[in-house]
Amino acid sequence: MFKKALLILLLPASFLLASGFSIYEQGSRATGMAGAFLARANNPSAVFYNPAGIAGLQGWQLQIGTTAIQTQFSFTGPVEMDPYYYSEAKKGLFFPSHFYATYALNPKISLGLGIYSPFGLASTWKDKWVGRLLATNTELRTLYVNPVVAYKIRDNLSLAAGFSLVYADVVLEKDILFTPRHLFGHSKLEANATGYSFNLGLHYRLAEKIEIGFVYRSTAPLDFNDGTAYFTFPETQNDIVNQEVATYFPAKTKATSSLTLPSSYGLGIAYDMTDNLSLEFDYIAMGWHTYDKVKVDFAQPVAGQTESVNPRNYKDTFSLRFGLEYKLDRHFTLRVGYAWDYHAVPAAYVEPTLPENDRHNYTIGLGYRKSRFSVDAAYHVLLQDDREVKNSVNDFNGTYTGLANILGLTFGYAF
Amino acid sequence: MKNKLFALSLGAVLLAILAACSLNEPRITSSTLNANEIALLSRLMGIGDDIMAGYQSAALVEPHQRNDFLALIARQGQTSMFQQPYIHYPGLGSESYAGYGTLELKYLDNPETPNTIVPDPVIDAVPFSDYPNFDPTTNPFIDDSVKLWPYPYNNLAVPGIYVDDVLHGVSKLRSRSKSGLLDVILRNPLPDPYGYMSAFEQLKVFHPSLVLCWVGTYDILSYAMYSAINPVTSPPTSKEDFAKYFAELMDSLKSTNAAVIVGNIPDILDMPYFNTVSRFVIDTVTNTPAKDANGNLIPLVGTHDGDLILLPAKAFIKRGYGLPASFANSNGKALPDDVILDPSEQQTVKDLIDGFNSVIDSVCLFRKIPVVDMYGFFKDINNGYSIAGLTVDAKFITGGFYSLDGIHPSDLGHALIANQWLDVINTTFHMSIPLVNVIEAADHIQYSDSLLVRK
Repeated sequence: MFKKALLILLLPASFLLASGFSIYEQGSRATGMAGAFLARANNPSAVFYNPAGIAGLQGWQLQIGTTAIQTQFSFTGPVEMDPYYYSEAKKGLFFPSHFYATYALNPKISLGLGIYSPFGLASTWKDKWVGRLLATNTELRTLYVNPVVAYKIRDNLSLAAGFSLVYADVVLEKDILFTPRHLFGHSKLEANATGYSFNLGLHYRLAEKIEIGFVYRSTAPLDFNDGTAYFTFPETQNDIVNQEVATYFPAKTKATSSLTLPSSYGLGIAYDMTDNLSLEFDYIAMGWHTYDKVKVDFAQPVAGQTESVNPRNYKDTFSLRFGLEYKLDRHFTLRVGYAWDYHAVPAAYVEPTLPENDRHNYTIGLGYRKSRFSVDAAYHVLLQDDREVKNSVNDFNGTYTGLANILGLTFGYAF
Repeated sequence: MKNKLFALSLGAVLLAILAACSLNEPRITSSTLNANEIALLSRLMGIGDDIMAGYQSAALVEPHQRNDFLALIARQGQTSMFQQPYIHYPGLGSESYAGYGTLELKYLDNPETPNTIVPDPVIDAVPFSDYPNFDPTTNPFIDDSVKLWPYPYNNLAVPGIYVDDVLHGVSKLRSRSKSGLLDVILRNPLPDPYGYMSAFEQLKVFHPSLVLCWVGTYDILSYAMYSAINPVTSPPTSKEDFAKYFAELMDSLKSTNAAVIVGNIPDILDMPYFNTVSRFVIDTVTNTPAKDANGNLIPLVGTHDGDLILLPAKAFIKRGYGLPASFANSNGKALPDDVILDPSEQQTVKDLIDGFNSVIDSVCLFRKIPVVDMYGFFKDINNGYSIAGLTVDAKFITGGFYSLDGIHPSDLGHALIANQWLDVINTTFHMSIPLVNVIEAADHIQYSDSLLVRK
């Protein structure tokens, strides 16, 4: 109950951030710098970006914020039907949010807690769109509650470790055609799961002006053991047909599935060019190969089948992130960044629940601080390269386009 | 200086927020027609036999005629005046001699046999007596506007005719095939000065811009099929005759100066009509093959290895034909030859299909008439055809492509067929007429079946 309430508050259902369905926007200061923050990692959002960074924070610190994500994407095709046929998905608007608290227990040990949503996906296509038999509405929401502890081994070296309680829920919807009776119906799968993962961080000040960071997050295997599948068909005037439909498609049946959220690791290096200007370059890799298929098992047969398998075949990916931060004066800071995400989905497997490709991310940000209080704002535009699919395993060849407008706002307070 | 820089940066941030990015909508969101495309499709006509006419589930009937591939092409090409000989429900067809129209799927799984492992469907023909408003003999049309349409119908294809009847057939009696629908569709004699005109002659006076022609299938089908009243024991049209008649037809069509596109003959032996009934006895309780004491399958009496059993055999088997004497409901008689296609007959059919298709290829190549490879397409369907999550194959009832008579494509089949023809039209004339959105067509089909009008 509590988890659900928290989830609603921190509604993380967001589409296409970073690669696959990962969301790297977990703090507006970092977002302003295209997420290139794991080497600097010197504010409470470090719990996400690099927990070793909290070792340098004093006293109690809090941060709370949200990121407004507006998604737009389209599909032109299928080519075999009409190469110019254009379908636009409904514009999405989501607010994955974040909360961080850190506490310097003593000069060597710091504790932190982060609540954030590093994975999420939502795509809703218009009613009766041409791909309705493949997907109509998909949502994946995750919530990580991540306590961490950081230890300052030496003045210039810190190590951190943490674990996360992971909660996820998923909704998969698409239409079905009951061919012998020419009837369109709808299927909806809903399930939730809990799991855990752990994370590690390392922060090292190489020289006076150079810092490096390393992070690792493990996979989070999730077992959706108690899901439900709903099948709804319109009522016809023919009761025989209505009965046949009810026999082939149970109105409601138990469904189970599993999903393993990928592991990731990151390496970053930051350099203070001048007193006011610093820059950072991060390399983040994600082990997407764990998302190989979506297999759902039904308790009752659905149109004679007790399982449905859809291959996904994701591949491991990486992203490159560059960020610059310029201190205007003691209150204002300006940020700018660029990141490039390499795609996780091979061409033949691109499908409407997540039409992905390489992404260019351009960000700018502004920070204001006055004594104990800080606010960071960021604007991030995500431009996805057009993805042309020619050998779709779903016989759905065409071109996907996508972009997202992202606005982040985070407030911080140091006690 | 710092203030200026700050102001500029703040301005940049705000500007970025306000000028938030948007996807570029393509200039052409779905193919729009240009003048040439509209001109080509402006006087569209179809000519030929069963499938072109929109005959399916053993009848020609309005709800399905509205979705036949010629009508779909007319919609894609925005043909402004397009009329077909729409027949009132329950339609006219092969069961009309006995007072029935189209076939309907009563049950996917007969409730009288609840223990069947494999569903046993029940298909009934709709009796004329259920529709007292339907006048099958003097006015089978949906209304007078169709009956008295002052021009030739855009669709002059007639189910059940042979290739030469397209050029010369003017009525049931004055034709080689003796198809009753010739009288209905050609409406001869026409008012003065027209008199008796064949399908081709009516097409010619209309001055079509584009003619789609699909003939020859019924010439072969009539030999292979079972008929209660008109058994055809030898092929009505030899390959040589077909060559002669088809060339004459092509020359005639070309003489109208219309653009002409032709379809070739599919492999009819792939159709569910020939592949659904097993030549082995089926246990009616479980609807699975019966086994003898040694666990072997039991062939139906009168059948041999390699035989294909036609769909109408079901009715005979039900009455006891073909069942060995040991079975309680056997009537002691073998399964009639009429519902069996033995290997030599199958070879005759194959030779005819190959022969007709090579005639079509050479006659059309010489006259530069494009041929739509319906043979290849129906083979693709046989292997399972998939698009946008929609899968169709050649299975009876559940496959989606064929209608309830097991021979003629369903509405969904016609949507797929339309795109094959449109593709050839586009390639031949360097056009980009939008293809049929098959998913949308499938949605539309839900409402066209009068039995499934939504609550």
